[in-house]
Amino acid sequence: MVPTSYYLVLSALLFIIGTAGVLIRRNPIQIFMCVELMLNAANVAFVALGRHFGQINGQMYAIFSLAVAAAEVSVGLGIIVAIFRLRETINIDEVNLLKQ
Amino acid sequence: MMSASLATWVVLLPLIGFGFNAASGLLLKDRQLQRKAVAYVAPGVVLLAFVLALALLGALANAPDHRLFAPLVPGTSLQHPWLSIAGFKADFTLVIDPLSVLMALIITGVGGLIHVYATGYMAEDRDQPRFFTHFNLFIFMMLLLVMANNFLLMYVGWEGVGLCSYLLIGFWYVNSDNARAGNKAFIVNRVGDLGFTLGVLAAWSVFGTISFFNAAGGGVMQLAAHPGGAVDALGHPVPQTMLTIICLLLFVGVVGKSAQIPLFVWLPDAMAGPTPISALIHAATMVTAGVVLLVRCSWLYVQSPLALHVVAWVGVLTAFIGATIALVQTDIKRVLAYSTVSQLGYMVLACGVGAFSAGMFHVLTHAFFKALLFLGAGAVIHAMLGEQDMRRMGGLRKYLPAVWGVMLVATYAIAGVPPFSGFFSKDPILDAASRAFSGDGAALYAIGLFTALLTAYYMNRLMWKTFYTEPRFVDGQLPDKHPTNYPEEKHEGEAHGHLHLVPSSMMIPLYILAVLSAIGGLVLGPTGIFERFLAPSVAPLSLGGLQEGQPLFSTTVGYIVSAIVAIIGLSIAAYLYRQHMQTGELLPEEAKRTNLLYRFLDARWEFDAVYEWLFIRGGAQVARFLWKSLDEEIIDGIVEGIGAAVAWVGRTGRRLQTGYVRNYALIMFLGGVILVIGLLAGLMRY
Repeated sequence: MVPTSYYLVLSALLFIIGTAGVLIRRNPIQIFMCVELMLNAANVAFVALGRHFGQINGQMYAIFSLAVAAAEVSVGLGIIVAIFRLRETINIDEVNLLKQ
Repeated sequence: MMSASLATWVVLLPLIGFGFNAASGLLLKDRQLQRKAVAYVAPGVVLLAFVLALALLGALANAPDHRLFAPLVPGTSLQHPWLSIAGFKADFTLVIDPLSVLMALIITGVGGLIHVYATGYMAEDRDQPRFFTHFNLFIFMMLLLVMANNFLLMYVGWEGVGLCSYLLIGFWYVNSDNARAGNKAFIVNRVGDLGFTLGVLAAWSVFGTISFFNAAGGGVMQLAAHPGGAVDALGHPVPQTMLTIICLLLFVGVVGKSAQIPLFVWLPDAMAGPTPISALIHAATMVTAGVVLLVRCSWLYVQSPLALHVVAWVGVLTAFIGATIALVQTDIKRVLAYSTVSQLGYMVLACGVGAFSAGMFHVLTHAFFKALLFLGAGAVIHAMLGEQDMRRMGGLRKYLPAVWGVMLVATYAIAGVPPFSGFFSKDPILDAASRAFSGDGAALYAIGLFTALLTAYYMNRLMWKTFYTEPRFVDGQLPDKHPTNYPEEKHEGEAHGHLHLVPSSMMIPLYILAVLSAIGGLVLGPTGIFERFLAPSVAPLSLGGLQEGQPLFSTTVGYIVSAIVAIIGLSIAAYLYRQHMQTGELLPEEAKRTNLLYRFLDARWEFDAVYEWLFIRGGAQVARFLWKSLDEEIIDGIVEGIGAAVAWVGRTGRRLQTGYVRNYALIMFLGGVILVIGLLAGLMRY
């Protein structure tokens, strides 16, 4: 049986990769994919810890988080489409109106 | 009590005159009518007050203890309170005793004559109502000062005369020098007033009352006169140290008001006012207020030998310094101003050796002859169209014989030539000084006598420069334009070197004062009338356990020495000036510039320079330090530093807001990391 710590290391690696992607990438699609990566890293941790403690809660939260992720992606993609329609680009470095 | 309540009206009449003059100045539009109204009412109320004061003299003769009381506000009782704050009580009571009646007579008598004179002197002035308004107010305040029965009411008069002095010195305020002289007088007097205030508070804290006398006993002076030493209101003995402190603090007030060293510098500058003011305020009455205070508080002073010693030495040194400065003055009024300083020194000296009644007698005779000198000088100035510099006078005996005559009487009086009044008042002071209880009578007498020599010299110098030497004003040496006190008004059609006539309203007071100066001393002095009259108001030296010292020589010899000294002084001046009839100058201009003694005296012993350096420059330095260093650097630095710091934080913090989502995400991430580390660290602790 694979020890729980392995899963947690995997989760941490996935999370770091996701975070790095969010911070480095300029394409919002890629950023979304990285956000998904971070979410799923968390899911891995949930499930692993759920198994470790013999509780069902971990798997339950993983299902919840998948549902939230799906909703979030749909809203996020909608925003990206709206930005593209408005500015004809989706490069987030050019979308810096928050500065004002 | 009818007669005692006359005192109320003596004091209030000038106040009514003040109100009337102010109202007519404000309400009457017709200048002629205005002038006529004030010219009759202003002297009228003062002379009426004089008549009432004479009646008080009669009332006093029948009074027990030679003391009566009257309320200041008609119709109120004697106990009518003015202030009553936590044991500090003051009422509106006037005291009628020989001292206050004597001063009331001087103020209203000499003051009334000067009022009459002023109607002539100020006839051409456009601001006559203002002049007489302040003049009447001054008489009121002065009467309040001398007749008040407690320190606080006296203080009202004390400050009131200071105010009137300020207003009248700066009467011709268009010239800023006059306004500055008024400020100087006011500010220098503040220094003295501070001492007076502290003295009053000290007296209150020690004795528990500020009344001088009470009908039932228990006034400050009555407590001080308690047999076996001063006691407070509860009967506990008062330590001598406290009495000394009270006396010295009150003496600071005297030094300010009576122009003693080191605060005499305001009095000569006060000559900026019109001459009647110089005569009334700065010679005859207000400056003697300090002497009145000394005599009023003689009951305290005799119990403090130290305070008396200080008083005597300040007085004699003032007399000497004033006289030396008067030697070199060229402005006729300034000679008289310094001679006033010097004569006030004699009065204070008299109080300092315990001869209070001799001091008051000199106040009386000085009021006569100094008012006469000032009014005579005013007549000269009037005739010379405002010229005050004796270097441009000379030969006026021919043009103003009557003025010359009265001035001669006054000169003999102040110099102390028998039988003129100054002789009979100055010699007792010198006599008392030689018998000073402190044992240094010889020194006091020597300085006093030498000052008498100087007095005779500088007065005859004034006479020679003004009346005898060759005229220096007809040969084109008068200034091209006549000085006028209002730049926009011009003296039209008055030619060069022409003399103005002196009106009779100015001459009659001069004649009356001349008679008083001539015989007043002889009648009242040697006969003992004055001393017997004033005796109930002054404390005997024996009250404080003090003994007069041994006289240097008998009184008769003293009289002869004084007379000889006066005649020598007059003769030296006559002898020297007879040799310089043409120029009227003993020293050539060149010598005046190089002679160190002359320059030192001309600079008034450098008193003004020291004050300038110490207080004016020093004050400016302190102010500059507070302004430049404390305010602009430290306080403004703190305030502006806070502002700058906020701006810096804003400028720096603004860079965080880039608008790039990545940056916000990074910060959020870092925040999360810190949070997790913090949580883990917290967990590790357990």
